[in-house]
Amino acid sequence: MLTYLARRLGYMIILLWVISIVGFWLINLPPGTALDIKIQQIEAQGGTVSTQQIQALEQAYGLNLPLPERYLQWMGGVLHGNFGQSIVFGQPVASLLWSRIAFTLIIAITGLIMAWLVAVPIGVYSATHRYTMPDYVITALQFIGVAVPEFLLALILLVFAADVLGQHNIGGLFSAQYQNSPWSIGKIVDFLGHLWIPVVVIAITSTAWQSRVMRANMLDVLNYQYVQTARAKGVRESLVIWKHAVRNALHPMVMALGTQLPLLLSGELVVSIVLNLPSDGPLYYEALQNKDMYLAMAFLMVTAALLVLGNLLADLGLAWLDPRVRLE
Amino acid sequence: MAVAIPLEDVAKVQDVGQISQFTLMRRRFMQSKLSLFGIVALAILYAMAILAPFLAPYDPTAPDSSNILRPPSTLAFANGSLSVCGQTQILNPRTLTYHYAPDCGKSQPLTLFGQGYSYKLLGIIPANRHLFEVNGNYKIYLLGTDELGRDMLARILKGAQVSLTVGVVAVIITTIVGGLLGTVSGYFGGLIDTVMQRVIEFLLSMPTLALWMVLTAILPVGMPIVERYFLITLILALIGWTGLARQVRGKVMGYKAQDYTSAARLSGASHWRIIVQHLVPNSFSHIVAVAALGIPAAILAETTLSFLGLGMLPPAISWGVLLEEMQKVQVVEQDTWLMIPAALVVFAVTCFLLIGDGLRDAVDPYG
Amino acid sequence: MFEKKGIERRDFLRLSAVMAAGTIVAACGGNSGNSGSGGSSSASVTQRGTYHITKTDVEYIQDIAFKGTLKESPQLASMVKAGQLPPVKQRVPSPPYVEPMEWLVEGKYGGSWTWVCSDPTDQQTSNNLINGMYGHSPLRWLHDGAAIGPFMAHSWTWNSAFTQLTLHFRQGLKWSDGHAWSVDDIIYWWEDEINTLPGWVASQEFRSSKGTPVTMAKVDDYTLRLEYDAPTPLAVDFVAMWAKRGTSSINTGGVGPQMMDPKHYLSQFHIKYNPSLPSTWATDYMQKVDWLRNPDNPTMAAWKAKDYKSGQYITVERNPYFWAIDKWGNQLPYIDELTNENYQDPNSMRLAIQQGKADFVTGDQIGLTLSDVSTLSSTQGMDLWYWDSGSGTASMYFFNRDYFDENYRNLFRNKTFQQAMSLAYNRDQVRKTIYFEQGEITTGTMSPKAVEYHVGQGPQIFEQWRTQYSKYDLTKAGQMLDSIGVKKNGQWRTFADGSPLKILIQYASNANPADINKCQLLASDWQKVGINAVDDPVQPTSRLTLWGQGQLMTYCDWEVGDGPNCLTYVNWLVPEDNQRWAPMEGEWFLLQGTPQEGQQANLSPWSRNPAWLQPDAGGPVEKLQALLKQAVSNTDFFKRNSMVWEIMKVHMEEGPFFVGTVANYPQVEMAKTDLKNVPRQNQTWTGGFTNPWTIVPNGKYSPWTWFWENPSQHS
Repeated sequence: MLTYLARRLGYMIILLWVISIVGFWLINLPPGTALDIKIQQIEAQGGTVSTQQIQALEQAYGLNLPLPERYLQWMGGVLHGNFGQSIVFGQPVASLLWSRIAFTLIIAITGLIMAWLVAVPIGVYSATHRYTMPDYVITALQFIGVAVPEFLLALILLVFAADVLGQHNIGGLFSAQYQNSPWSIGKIVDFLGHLWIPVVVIAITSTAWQSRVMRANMLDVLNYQYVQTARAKGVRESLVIWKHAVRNALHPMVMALGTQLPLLLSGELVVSIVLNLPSDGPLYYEALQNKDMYLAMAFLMVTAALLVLGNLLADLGLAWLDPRVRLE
Repeated sequence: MAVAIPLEDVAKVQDVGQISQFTLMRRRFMQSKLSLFGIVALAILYAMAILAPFLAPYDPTAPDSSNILRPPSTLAFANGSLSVCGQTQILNPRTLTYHYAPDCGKSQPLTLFGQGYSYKLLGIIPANRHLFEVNGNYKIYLLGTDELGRDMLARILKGAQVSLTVGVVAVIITTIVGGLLGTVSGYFGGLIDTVMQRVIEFLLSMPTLALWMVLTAILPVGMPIVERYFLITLILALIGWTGLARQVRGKVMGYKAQDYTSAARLSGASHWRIIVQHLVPNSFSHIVAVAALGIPAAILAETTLSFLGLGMLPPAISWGVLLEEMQKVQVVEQDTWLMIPAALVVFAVTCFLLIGDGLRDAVDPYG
Repeated sequence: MFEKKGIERRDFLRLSAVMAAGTIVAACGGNSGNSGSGGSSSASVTQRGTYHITKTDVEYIQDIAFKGTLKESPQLASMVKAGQLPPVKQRVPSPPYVEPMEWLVEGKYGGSWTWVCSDPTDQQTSNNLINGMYGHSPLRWLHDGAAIGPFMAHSWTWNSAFTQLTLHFRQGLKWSDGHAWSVDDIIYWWEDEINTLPGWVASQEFRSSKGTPVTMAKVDDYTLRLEYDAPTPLAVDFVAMWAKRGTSSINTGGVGPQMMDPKHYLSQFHIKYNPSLPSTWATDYMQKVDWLRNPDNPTMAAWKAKDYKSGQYITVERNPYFWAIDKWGNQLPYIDELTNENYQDPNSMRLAIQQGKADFVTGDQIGLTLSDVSTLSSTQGMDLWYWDSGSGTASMYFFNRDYFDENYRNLFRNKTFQQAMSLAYNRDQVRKTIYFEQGEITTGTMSPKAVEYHVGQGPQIFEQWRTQYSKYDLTKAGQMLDSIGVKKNGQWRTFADGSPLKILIQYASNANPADINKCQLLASDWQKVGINAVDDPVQPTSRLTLWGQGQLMTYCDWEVGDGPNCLTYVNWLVPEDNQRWAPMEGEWFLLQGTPQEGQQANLSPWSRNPAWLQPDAGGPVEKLQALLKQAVSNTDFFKRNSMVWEIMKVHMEEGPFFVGTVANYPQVEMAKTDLKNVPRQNQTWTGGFTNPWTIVPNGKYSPWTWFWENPSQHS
């Protein structure tokens, strides 16, 4: 077990290193730099940037160096815990990331909990009640949930909350008066008032996927001999379902969970943009959009690390859930 | 044929053990009313997409400043035929919106199969007939117009041509590669599995969003948008199979440990035979479920990418572009007819999902 | 200081301006009836506005003396009582700056207010505030750019050769932390920050007409002399331009160059003054220098930084040492606290405005367009009105004169082609579809508010240029294209040699929707004249590089943004950078006199780095660049003007080089009904002039004089 872990960790480091090279190369592939975007913004607003200034900036951000040299410089910084400066925001990358991490996690974890809390029971129910009226209704609703584009649903809910419900605390996570106050009952109520829209959007769109997968898995598992055997032995149906079937049907979901770990950081990107949530997702998107390369690289690396870690955890989790799977 | 149904029912019960799996699958699929509904609805949708320029009276790209943001036309019965009411455009100087006051006193009857702008059906057959037309200065906009005064009906149908086709190829590639490699990886284990897993991990950690941006930026300037989009989906399909592969691998690893695989192995079956005969069919339901969800996911992804400014962009016309254009408070509050494309996306995706669901049940016909 | 040579012309003008105060002379260019667009409803929104220009130069305004008792916010008064703050008399300089706007009424202290913007990169969050505060500029623009007046400096003097400009600052100016301000803070910025901090170099505004950086001499704590190596008559304009203190890492951040930083605070983070700092000091310095995100960094503006959350908001609070008062003696600002909220998505910003979450909405700054009026005009408790944009073109297009393909390049340089394409452009359709029948049809000129258009033969030149190629005439356009051999061959027109011709109409893929719509209208118009024109969105990051290297054909999502006079912001008239209609010839101009001049001459111009191309001898670009060089150093305002007219005539004879749609369309502004002293369109001097950031949007209307009718309702 320990050697297994050690080997996996070794792989992880090599993989991350390869990704850092490929990622760095990719991000720098298209012509132009983040400065171009900045300069265009400035020019569009009626400012001027001289060639000297551009050259000075390129030097300041190391953009005039050949790619390998730039990579080494950046890597050297990363190994010392310095992820560099964001060109667009003019702030250290690490502080930018951290300043938004709390909300990022709140949104992502709420989404994840929602997905599992809702999706698993619904999936199980609809698999065990296949071809009944409730199953049809659930199926139809879920499909519509899957089919609605997230950004659209978010906007419609936002307008609905504002115009029909007359709700005043929409967009963002806090109203102005609570933005900077310590936690209190009022602030929590305000926070929940803001949170329901993103949670509903996430629940409608992503839960539907999850529960379809759960239903499919359950249907598979219910055909297995051991389930039939258990039934034949006269084990209570609910016990058959929840103890034998559900446990096995969860395997692919656990596997998927591993791959979902990176979503903690960049997930709910679209919802965050539309609903004005100050999370890391939109930041990542902007970094890529603006070719803000040190910021983008930081996201890339953290995402990749989470993913690799997630895979490892998924494998370990699978071994724990399913004794038939052996780790060697 | 009326008698045939009970007969078939009887037959079904009796011949389960004898008929081919495929027949069984087809039969099971036909049982699902919702899936059938999906098939029929999609067939109609695809037919409409093919006939788009015939069904719509106007060019989807032609702007018309005297019909900016015009709500769907008011129809009326006049002189015994269906007619369009006359409308005058008035600018409200306070709100800066154009209003259209219908005047059903003056109206113009619809002409069926009249001549209008010329187009090429299926891209080859030149034609200029349209299902319906209105003569003179009257215009008919069954689904209203957009900000530039373009016919939404024409745009929605044109968008369907693009959105219903462009992602499908990528999904097929993804499914085949992912299913196969996942099975192999899970079955053989050992070195093959390790290598495969590392490759998958690497590809999975490739940032798709970043790749999109890079690809859109390095493809040559001036390349038509739809072509560019199609090319990117193909490229990404080559690295997009990993998710499915991992899931299939998980399944196969489970099956491998089961008795029948060991039995088959002991009785001297080749690896290939075990994979094709036992493992693929077993994990097939999962593959089909994922693949069937892949096409609607591709349609949805197209809309999301347009929203992010990475997918199809104007002047291309796709559902994603139409949805992006309607992503405005103004549309949700006032110009609600511009939300019709959204309803269509939801409808089409739901149909695909229903079919996928039916398929999933069908490939597992013994359940 | 001031060489005796009779009465200086400018001095004389200044005196006459004071005497002429109150006389209003109607604008020269007010006859907008002949635009031929016939939109009857437009009159309610767009007027070209009237000018207060009373003579032939930018007007200079004198400081207003104050002789009453100073008053202060009750909040500060109680702090003074408690001994936490010196009395108001010691906090404001002598003389204090008295706000000169005619529309001001005496206000009430207190309350807080909210502005909004939508910018995921968080730039606009601070830019809105910087432009709204304008508090670090020695001189300021008044009369919508038609006049310059005192600000931090109470007066200024020129030597007769226009090589030395002396600024006299107010005695006793203080930073927001109470520390005394002096010209050392300007010299600190000039000598210790410029050329030392990453990306901070001496900008155009602080160079002589020859391009040499200025020398700054301290006369005393409150007197600064700017010394130029050549006559630089535009220096006063340059000193008044921009809000003068940016916050971004690249120093300009869209708000222009700055002019000072608090030496007493920042020098502790500077390696020169604190050698014990690590080698990465500059990175930390860049954080400290951001005075809107670092509350420790003091300011001279009306409000000082209080709180900041990345991507969400910046809050600023009253600066007790602010140096401006109104004529009733109230120390400004009136309002205690100001928050600028940032929304990631423009839709949630619009909803927030609708819900009344914004107290002041500066539509021109936050990307609202006329199409937003329909959703926002019925917002409860808010007024919606317009300020003139002052735009000379609105959304425009231009071809790349230095495109790499020779066939295309020759075509783009052919004036008959340029003119034909302009005639084939149905501007009425654009005006109706995108500008809701506002603004007047134009070929594309410099701003109709530019000073040069309001004196001498300026009005005629403006009118001639504006109407020259603006009329939609497909037949004529077709004939002109035929005449240069661009004839129809099958569906589309081809080059004269029969090779296929395809025009890519290029814009950034994330451009403003109004621009994208306009480009689509343009494509359909050009298709009508037989040109195979296709819209081609370009990846924004690659855009600038590709454009500068002559790899892109057209630019379809820009707008002429220019200053109140043409020479302070000249790059649309004369190629002098690598981003506009002649990028590589502009680059050539930029490289003149630098070590890179003439390098890589053996390479093809399109493989050089940077890509430069020498203008053709006798060609329009050479003419324009030569005229510019003469104009900027000419100390005679009349002669300078006539050179600007010469430059414009080159555009009219050999162009158009950039092609506009409608001029001076209105921009949307909104404020709560009980927010007072916000000038409406008829109160501002010329109806507003929002577009150029050089004359400082909002800041020129002194938002620190604005107040709440009932402050207690807005706490």
